[in-house]
Amino acid sequence: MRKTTTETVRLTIDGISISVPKGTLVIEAARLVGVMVPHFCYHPKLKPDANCRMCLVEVERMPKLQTSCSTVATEGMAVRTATTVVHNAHKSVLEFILANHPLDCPVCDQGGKCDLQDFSHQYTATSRFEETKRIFQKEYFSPLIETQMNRCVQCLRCVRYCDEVMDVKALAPIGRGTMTEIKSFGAHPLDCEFCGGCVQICPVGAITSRLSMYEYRPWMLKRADTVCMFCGDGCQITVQTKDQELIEVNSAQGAGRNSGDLCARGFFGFRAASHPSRVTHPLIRRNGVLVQATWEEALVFVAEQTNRLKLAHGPQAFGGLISGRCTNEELYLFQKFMRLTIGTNNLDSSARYGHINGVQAMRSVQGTHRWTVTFEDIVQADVLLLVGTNITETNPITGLKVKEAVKKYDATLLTIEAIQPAVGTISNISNLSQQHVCVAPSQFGAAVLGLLKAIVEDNHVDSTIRQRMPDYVSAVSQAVERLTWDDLALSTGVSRESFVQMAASLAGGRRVVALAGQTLLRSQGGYGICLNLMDLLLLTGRLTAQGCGFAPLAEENNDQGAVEMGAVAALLPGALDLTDQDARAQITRVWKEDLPLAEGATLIEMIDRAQAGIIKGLFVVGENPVGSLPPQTGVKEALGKLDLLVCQELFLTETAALAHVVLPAASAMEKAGTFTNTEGHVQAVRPAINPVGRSAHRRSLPQ
Amino acid sequence: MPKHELILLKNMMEPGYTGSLHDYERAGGYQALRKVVGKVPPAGVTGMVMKSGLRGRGGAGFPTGLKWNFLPKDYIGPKYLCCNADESEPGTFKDRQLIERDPHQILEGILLACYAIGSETAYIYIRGEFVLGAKILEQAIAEARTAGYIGSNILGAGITVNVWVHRGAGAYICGEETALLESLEGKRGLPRFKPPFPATNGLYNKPTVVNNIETLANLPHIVVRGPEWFASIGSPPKSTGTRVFCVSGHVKQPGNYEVPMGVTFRELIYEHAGGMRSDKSLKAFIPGGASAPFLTPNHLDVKLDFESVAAAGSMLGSGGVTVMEEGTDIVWAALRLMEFFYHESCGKCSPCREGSSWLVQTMRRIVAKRGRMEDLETLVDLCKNIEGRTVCAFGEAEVAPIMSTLKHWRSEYVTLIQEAEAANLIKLEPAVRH
Repeated sequence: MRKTTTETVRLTIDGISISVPKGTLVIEAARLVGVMVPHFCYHPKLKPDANCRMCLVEVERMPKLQTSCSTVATEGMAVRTATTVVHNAHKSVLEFILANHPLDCPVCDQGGKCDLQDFSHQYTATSRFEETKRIFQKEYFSPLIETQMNRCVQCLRCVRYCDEVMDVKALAPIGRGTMTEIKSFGAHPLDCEFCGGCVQICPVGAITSRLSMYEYRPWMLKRADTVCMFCGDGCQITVQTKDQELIEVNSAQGAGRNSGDLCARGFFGFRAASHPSRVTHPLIRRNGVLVQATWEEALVFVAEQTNRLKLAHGPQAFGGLISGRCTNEELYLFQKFMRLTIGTNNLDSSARYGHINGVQAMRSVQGTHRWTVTFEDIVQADVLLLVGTNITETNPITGLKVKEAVKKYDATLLTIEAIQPAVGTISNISNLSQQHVCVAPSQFGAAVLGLLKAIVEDNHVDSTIRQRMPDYVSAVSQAVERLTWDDLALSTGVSRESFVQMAASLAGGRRVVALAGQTLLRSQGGYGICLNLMDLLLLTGRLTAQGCGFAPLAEENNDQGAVEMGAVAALLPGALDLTDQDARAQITRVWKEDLPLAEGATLIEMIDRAQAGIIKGLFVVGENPVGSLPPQTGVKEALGKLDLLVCQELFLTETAALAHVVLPAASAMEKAGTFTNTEGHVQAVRPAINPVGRSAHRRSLPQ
Repeated sequence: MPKHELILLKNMMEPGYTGSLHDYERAGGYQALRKVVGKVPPAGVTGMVMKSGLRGRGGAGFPTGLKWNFLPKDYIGPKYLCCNADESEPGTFKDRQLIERDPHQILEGILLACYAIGSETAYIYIRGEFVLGAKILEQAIAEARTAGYIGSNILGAGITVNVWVHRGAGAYICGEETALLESLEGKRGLPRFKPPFPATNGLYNKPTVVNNIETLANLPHIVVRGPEWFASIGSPPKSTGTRVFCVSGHVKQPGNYEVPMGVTFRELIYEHAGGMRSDKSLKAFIPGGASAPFLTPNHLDVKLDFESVAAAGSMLGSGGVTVMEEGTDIVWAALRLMEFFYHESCGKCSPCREGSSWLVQTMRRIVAKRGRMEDLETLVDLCKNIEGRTVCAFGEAEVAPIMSTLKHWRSEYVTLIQEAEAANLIKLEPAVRH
């Protein structure tokens, strides 16, 4: 049905012959031979709208000039982009576009990266327009976005992006003719998820970010291509700085796993790193108060206390907790520090909150600790099953892949979510769902079982699987037989018919991807539900088929890396089992030191042991259990009993406030390393600014 | 005055004819539907229309049967018929009369078209200001539904057609067929770029035919009296049948006149519309709505068919003939039309959006005697830069008044500008003396 086609057509562009896949637009074919046809409204992400009329070209045997952005290349087509006629047409369209433009380049933030400015230079555009220009008042779309509609070229890229890519529809053109201006849709202020897409996609200075107003010209900025520090999607971002100040974050069109799209956190959230409340110096608790100290004082203090406790209580009196926001290198070092220097497997990371459930399920069913699918497979899927994701909020860019699959390529979307479809300007994935089941997070398991029962009962079990694994199939069949539709309906509120219908859609898919989000992974029985989801894929013969698979979504940017680096009690680096003798031998060979024998305590166990006085010292890196865990775990009280609590942090969090020593950490903007995103891509992190204060990350961990 | 047989306006010219179902049936209405439904296959109806040579009455004059034939043949799923009743072209008022005075004639045409193309749903997109027309159509649809002509199992032949009236919201551009479809879908009425054409990707991305009201009104007559009869009227083979011409302006009897295609402008204006209103002679006329270039008295013997008018450098368009007598300020008239196009430019594409604002401002200056000689060159340049570079035909339409008046009455522009320049010199004088 779609996108990848092997058929090609041959055409010539300015005499250069080129073969392109069938369906390629002339403007793209021209790009391939190195001809950039000027344009405003065309954007590879958007459906052609052909409204700016800038990209006119001559096509042989066509009477009029054609817009190359909407003309599909055909066999034998001869296109000319550099004739006098074409040049004059471009110049005349530019003259029209400039007619009502205020020419306020000196005060426009787009200056230096503006398509209109560039083309005006290219065509040495002059205007004969001497009439009155139309004037709009400057408006603010919230504290984040400024609109200056006098500069607008009405290409509607922002409106189309908001609808076609984001599925938000927060923007609309209001008014007619020259008086058309882009406004929020409806008579209310802009109310959307603030992905910043409209700012990024505007070819001129009509929509700009207020976070970086009037501060720079693009050539004054230093750029660093790095990876976003928020969610597990692992978006490539370009951080732009001036004199060690974070000015702007954006992402080049087509760049990275996100192909240039960003979310509110990625686009507008960068100033977290330069927030004034950053911890900039080591702090030591003296007389109950955290006071500023030097690194030497702090490290000596930590070393002395650690040695004292280790001598008195042994290595099992320590625990370590690290955030999945750290780089792979830091995670690896930390677990090695805990296992060799301290000598304990009492070790955990933020992957414990949920991501580990998905990884462990994948390990036990398919023997991998990574997805067997990629973002591309999500886009190409014809059936997508989302369970407990709330994906547009937790993993917005993976959400865009789902939206693309559904909106652009007509994939069938099935959702089991705790959210109801709602018409609003915040995108909600269940709005796009063909079949949506809304259940409480506690009932995700029951809903998945209902689906499993429908698959088995309606004979959607793949015949090969039935032959190859008869015992497994009969075991599953017996297990789901014990469930009654009445019970399932009672707990989920979903009828048998709905399950049957959903099962039929699922079984009808050729490329099926099941995504599990944090709401499911963090719920009770998250691990078991993941197994059942893989049962669904396995039974329908879709677990091992090309483009099919199970995809648990990582919440934090490097949760996946935390598991892979062995920053969890039960796993060694490479996600090897701690209890596996071969794996232990392998690691021992590399480390040339013996591993601690005792099985490690996980996060909750460590807190219990601290409460019981068994764990005396805790190293915490970038993690805030007091803030994250529910109060009934007694985490605050337990940490209060510790003899030594060392926190390495960006901010003085609830946990850090209890620490004996706080060491300033460097944020992802200030260090080099790698992050592994939710689909398992290891990507380079590059420093954009120097470490803030004394938070020199190289010295942050005793080695 | 030559008498021509009335076809479309025949019923309503009968004294006492109310346009009710009863009156329409008594005048032989719905016989065409009875003749074909269940008896003639849909392709047969399309064949009749092809053979009749009927061409679209909305403006472009595209052959109706051919348009129907562009629908994918073996398509499974809904197809739509959209009736373009968004008559907004200045100087055009024929559809309004057809709707208000004989609505069932249109409904029968719609039913025949739906039968031919296999559509179960027809939408009448009616201009928002036609409040009365919309009300009359609603009533007529209700009557026809009760009588079993509209709805499911029409005339017991198992055919379903539902007809809905949708009122526009006051945008000229929504008369452009793709903008009409966008508006009907509940979106902003902006033209789509073509291809794909509505025949394959129309309303809700389904195969769609968009036909003008007058086009549809011809269908019952073609079916009842046969395509050969229809093809013999007018100036065959290319322009068959009659047209309802809307004559307005400086004539004695402005109004709608149905005449066979191929009569001359002279006959239409001087014999049917009663000639000029005073002893002033004719100076200019617009032959086919505001989008058509102006013609001069030299063109009075041009025949009213598509080809002849095109050959004279204008277009038959919507059939709105606006007559201007000697003494009319042509530049002002062109400005007046330009004001309309400026107001109605939807703003989707740059040349039309920016060009209309530019043209109208320049024209205003010239009329206000603030023009300069180089403005004339700029006007021509701008018009050429708009023409052929826009998303829809609006671009061609908006430059027509200026281009044609500059062609035929350039001296009037020059006079205005010379007056302006003379006035400016006087104004400048004190500064020079000082």
